[in-house]
Amino acid sequence: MFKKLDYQIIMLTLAIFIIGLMFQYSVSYQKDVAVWYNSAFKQLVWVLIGFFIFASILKIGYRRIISVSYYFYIVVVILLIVVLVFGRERLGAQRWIQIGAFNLQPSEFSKLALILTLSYYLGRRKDSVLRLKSFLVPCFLTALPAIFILKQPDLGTALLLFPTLLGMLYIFGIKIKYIISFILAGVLSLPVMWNFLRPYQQQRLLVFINPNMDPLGAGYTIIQSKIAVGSGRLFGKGWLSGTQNYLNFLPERHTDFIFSVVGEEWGFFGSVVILILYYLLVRRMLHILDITENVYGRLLIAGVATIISLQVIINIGMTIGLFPVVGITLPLISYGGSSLLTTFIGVALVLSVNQLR
Amino acid sequence: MRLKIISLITACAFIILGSCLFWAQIVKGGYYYNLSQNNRIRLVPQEAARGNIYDTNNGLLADNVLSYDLVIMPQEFVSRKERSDTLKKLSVILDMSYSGLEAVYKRNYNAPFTDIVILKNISKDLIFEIEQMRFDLPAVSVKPRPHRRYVLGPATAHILGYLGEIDQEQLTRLTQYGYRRQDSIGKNGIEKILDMFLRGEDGGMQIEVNNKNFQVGVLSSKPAKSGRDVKLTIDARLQEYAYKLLDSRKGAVVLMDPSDGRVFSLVSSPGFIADDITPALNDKTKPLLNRALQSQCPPGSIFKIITATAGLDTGKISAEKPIFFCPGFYTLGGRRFNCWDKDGHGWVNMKEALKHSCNVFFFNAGQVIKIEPIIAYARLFGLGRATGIELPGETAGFIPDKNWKRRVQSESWREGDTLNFSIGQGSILITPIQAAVMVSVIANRGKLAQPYVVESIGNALIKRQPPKKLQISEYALNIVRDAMESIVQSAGGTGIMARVPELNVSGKTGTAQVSGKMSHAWFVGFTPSDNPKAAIAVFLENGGYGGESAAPIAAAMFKKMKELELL
Repeated sequence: MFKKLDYQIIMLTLAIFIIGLMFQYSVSYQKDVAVWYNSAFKQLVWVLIGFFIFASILKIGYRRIISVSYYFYIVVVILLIVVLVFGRERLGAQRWIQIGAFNLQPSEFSKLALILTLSYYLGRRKDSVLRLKSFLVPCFLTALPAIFILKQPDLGTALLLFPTLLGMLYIFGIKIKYIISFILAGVLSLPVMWNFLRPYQQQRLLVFINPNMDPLGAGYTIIQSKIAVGSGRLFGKGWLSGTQNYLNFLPERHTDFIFSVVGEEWGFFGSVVILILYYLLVRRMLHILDITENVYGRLLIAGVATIISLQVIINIGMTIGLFPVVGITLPLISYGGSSLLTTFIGVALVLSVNQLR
Repeated sequence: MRLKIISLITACAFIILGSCLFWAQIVKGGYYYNLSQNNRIRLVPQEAARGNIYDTNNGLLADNVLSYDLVIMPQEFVSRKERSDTLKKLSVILDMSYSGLEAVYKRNYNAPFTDIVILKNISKDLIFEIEQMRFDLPAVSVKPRPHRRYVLGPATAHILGYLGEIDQEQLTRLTQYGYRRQDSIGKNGIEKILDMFLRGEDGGMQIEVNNKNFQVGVLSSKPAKSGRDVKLTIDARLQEYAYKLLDSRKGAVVLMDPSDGRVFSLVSSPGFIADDITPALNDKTKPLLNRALQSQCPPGSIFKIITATAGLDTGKISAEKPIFFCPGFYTLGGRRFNCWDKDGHGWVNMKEALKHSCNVFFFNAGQVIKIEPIIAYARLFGLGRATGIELPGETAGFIPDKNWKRRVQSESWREGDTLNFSIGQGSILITPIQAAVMVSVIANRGKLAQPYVVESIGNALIKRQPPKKLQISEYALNIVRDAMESIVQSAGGTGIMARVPELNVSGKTGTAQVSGKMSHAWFVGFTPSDNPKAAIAVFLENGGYGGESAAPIAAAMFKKMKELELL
């Protein structure tokens, strides 16, 4: 279980996670002591579950997990349907299933299920890489959960699935023209997609183009977040000292906008440190991908690496107004058990690929 | 190969993201930092308390209190129905008709986000009642308003003045002294001339607020510096009493210490309520006029004091000689000039003429003395120019002379003008405060003291010039003093209604004729006669005979002073 364990990935993951805890503390600090203990306790339970699953994956090995990925996929799709019907509504979206005190977010797990399923499906077709079917079936496998997630509505996660698919297909070796036509189709379908969006989502996208359109409404978050990040300047206002943070100017700051607090309290210096940590993590994963020959393993790593880097870039970009506000978490730092667990599992799968290389 | 491209793309994406962070945090960092400061920092001005005004016995004349207005915030109503429901409930509480309340609501409505004042200065009981019903009365609120309180109200309205919002002209002139838009500033009286001392220095606090604009901390604060208190020479008891004596009649009373100019009371009637001067603006009796300083009227017979002094001091007339015969009228160039007593006074000398206020004697005397010396003495006694009391708006009165007559009226000075001038009629105009100063000169044996009302500002006593000795002989002054004492104290004097038991009062009455209207009543005097401690000028606009209507007021004032052991 401990042989050929990649300590670089473990150390990087741990470092990012600990920084995340520090900012979870900062966010709850002063605000409401009870909330901090409460959320810390929950986060701790999630971490314990996370380590347990982490260890289990290493013990079981990714190959056996991949072989049951279809079941996992089906369970997740069913959960996505369940969440649409029975889910708990929060912040205007039905994303969670409540289990005791814990809220499960199936859309987070759908990322994993998709990566596993695609790895399994594509890996079995490694001899017919150039066939159109190798492109169309993965597209369908991706679109199915994406549609349900879009219905929740969770635009961010739904849209995240497609670049992940592309990343994996690219590494798999599919024809470039398929990929280009896929991107083209995506761009051309944008106007059609617009009409399927909920008014608040349309509003968010419009506000992304011009945050001052609605400074106290939808634009408020972007404006306050930009102010927070920018006001950190070189070294930040100091941990626990971000005025935008503790004076409550930042909404959703323990989840999607946690990086605003990082930027405000640690400044450009801290932000770059975090960027480098993420980059090193992704690079290490790509390195393992490079030295892995097993197709399943390669695809798996491609999926995990794509989704982590995309989430980092989109989330951080969102806080400085580079991307519209879509509900995408910052891996290992944002508060949220499902997100944390998903990232842990992804990292564990990569480690497992390395072990069984 | 493909992996290398993926690695490259990833690296590029992170570098681009890092550059964007560099842009946001380093290049634009200062800008965003300021924004974050603006987000959290609010400036809360702290108004400095205006200095109080006290009377000479440290009795309060003006201070600051909070008063409460009942207001409605129209933007808080969610529907028309809610508005009418609230007005209905409110009309029951206020004991008003619904339509009446609605009319007030509509009349005082300015703009959608401006409070509508329903009732000003509401009682504590009403405040509690409204606050208890807070949830039943949406949009209704009680707003505190700092408020200047004038303890004696209209009795001191003219001396103290009132406050108003700074106007554009004052703003441009006073910005360098720290005045700001919407500041309140003294608009008249002591409030105006001592505004810089009374107003103090506003302070402020930089507070830190959260996203809901609630205060979470104080970053820095500059305490407001209260204005300085002002102490006046006015005695509230005399002031109030004089105002009561005038009883809303048009007129003025000036009571002062003749030896140094301290003003004990300076009353103009009718008074006004400083809180809201609008009714006073439209009042035909012109309550806003400070009659003690601004009312310019002929002095009538009180001017005979000047004519007599001029005659005696120039040596053209003595106490006993010449004597003139008064048949009740005087004829000049075929024109009849009446004495006030149609029966005439017979043969009278200066002393008797003053005592009976015989016009005919003074017509003769005026012709003997000539006009120029009389004018010179009038000027010497301070007539024709402002006394310089530290109150705004004082007028100078008017002393006509030959030049003026020629220049303005294109006529030469005639004997008839001299006759009129000798008895204080014609074009001559004086103010009540000038009358008080004039009589003080006699009381003070030829020394002219400038009247003043400000005793001290903060802890600083205001130094005053000693009274100015005028070039008038003891002889002349003594004769006039003796005559003035007999006017009040001797049987047959015109001023006997100014008598006060246990006090010797000297004085001179005046009845200034106004064509077509009732005469102005004057009385000037002082007491005790041999060692005067108080000098008075009483003026009643269209008040009739001085001896009948003005003299009793002087007597009452002296009597009050005696009761208060000030004499």
